[in-house]
Amino acid sequence: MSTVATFRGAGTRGVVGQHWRPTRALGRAVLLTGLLVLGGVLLGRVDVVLLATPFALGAAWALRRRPQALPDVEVTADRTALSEGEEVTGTISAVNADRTGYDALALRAAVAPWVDAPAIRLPQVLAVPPGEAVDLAVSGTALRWGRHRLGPVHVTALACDGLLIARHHASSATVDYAVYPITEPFDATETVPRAAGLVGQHRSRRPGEVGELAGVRQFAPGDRLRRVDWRVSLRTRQLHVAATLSDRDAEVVLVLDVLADAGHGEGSASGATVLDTTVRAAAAIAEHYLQHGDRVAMVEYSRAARRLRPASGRRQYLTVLEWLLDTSAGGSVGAAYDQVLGPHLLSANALTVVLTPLIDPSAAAMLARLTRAGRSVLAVDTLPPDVAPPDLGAHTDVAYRLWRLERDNTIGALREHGVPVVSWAGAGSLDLVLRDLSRSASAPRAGR
Amino acid sequence: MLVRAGVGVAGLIALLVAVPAPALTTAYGLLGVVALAAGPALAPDGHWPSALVLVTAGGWLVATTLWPEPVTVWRVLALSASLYLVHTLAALAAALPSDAMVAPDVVVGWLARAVAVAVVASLLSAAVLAGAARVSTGGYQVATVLGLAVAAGLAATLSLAARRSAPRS
Repeated sequence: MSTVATFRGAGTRGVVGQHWRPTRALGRAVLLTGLLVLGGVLLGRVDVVLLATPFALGAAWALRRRPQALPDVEVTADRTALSEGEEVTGTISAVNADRTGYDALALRAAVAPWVDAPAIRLPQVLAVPPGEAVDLAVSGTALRWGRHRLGPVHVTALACDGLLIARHHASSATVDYAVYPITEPFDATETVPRAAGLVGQHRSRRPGEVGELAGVRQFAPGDRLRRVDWRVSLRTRQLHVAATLSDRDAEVVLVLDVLADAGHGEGSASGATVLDTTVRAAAAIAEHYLQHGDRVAMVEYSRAARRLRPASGRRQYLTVLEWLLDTSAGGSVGAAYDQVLGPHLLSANALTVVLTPLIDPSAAAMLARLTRAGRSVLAVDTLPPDVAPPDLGAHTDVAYRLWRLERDNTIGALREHGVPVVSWAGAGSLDLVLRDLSRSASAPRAGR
Repeated sequence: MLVRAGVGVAGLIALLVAVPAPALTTAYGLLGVVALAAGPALAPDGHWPSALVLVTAGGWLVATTLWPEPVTVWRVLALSASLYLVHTLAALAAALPSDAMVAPDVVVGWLARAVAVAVVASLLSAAVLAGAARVSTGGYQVATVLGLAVAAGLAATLSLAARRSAPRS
């Protein structure tokens, strides 16, 4: 699929013709011609007058035909939906619809910072004959997830041997690329603590009509006759039935703590910031659970306080990816808990996975509050291991180590209060804590 | 950078042709000539190109008036062509961003047009100089007539250009 954005420069000649302005070179040609001719006449020197000849001749010849229109600029993208690390390709075309050629046409396209296209970042200068078009091939690499834009294009056209110039910002000549995060491999084999519906892919811990065999037990009133295990019943001379575990779906709520960002990310190739880890992990977890038929909801814990309603299926996965593209860090003050995590907004049985770097103190408070509310909460630590503060003086290192100790204390306190905290490590990294959560969820509870 | 280098080289040639030979024998004179030639190359969008042309023309007048340097045809032609190259290459360099990647056909086309103008102007100048040498009454009247003609032509050209540049309603 290709996308085209066009800036029409030649549409209204009468108005656009006013964009052409004389350059300093035109003023210089006139000034020098006048001064040299005057000087030659006054001094009676033919040779001095002749010095003005090329200036007058060149200006007169160049101005014999003046341009009226600006060039049409068109930006085309071969593909607008990409993944991190994929190639960004497109074309910038400039069409000269005028009867006068452009001696030089400089095109400077604005390129998003996370698109590695060094050749197109520099202004490209081309000659465009009248009635012709020139194409500039755009080739680069999408370094990081997000919405990236190619364009607008700043156009500088020179005509009449540099005596006339037109500058214009082709603001409508833009193409937007959606660069989706690469999903780090993730595969959780453990069940979710409390499944919700009566359909789905998860083997629940509750008995049900269909599904995996849980065991054989004595017949009880209410059991269906078709579930009687006749072999065991004949051997024991008492009626026994085969008990199975029901298959159930689950609701997973992914909470993205993006109150603050940290780390040095250079795109998909090397390094990752908190935001990168959060988005990529969220995409991987959502993909995993949506593939299993579960419902996934998204919550951005920041000042933006964005939410995505729970839903299941391939369509929800695409929606999640689009939703993740707009994730941005910031807003440590005023992150409203009730706005995004209030009891009326979250399902009681949902597994709440909080992706947090635990930088902002309010994140730990949010986790504690979720746990006190009786929810199944799992914290995924998204702080990169190699993160370090900028060197601000002799005490930076000591202050950083103190902060790390304080953060470790917070993690320990959270674990003591029943919030498992696990570092994001891709495949299977959540299995152990999911198993613990499942056991604790199925255990009898004291009334609160 | 190539275009700016062209501006500098053309300016240097013009100065070497115009400036009196004794001035070029001293280190200060040579340094001044190089510095003056470098001005338009470094700042083509400023007043340096105009200043260079005027200083060179002044140097030419001084060299041919105060020093016994001959006014030969080749010197006049070389001076006018190199000064025009300074002017037109500075016009291109002034409009281009310093980090621009310029397609070769832009520079080649530009130089071709500049050389064509310089050749035509040289032919015209050579013809005028040859005609002026045959006139026994000296160059003063010829310069006056030629200057008036050029001034009238220039006025007509500028008038035409001004009419064509007026916004259309």
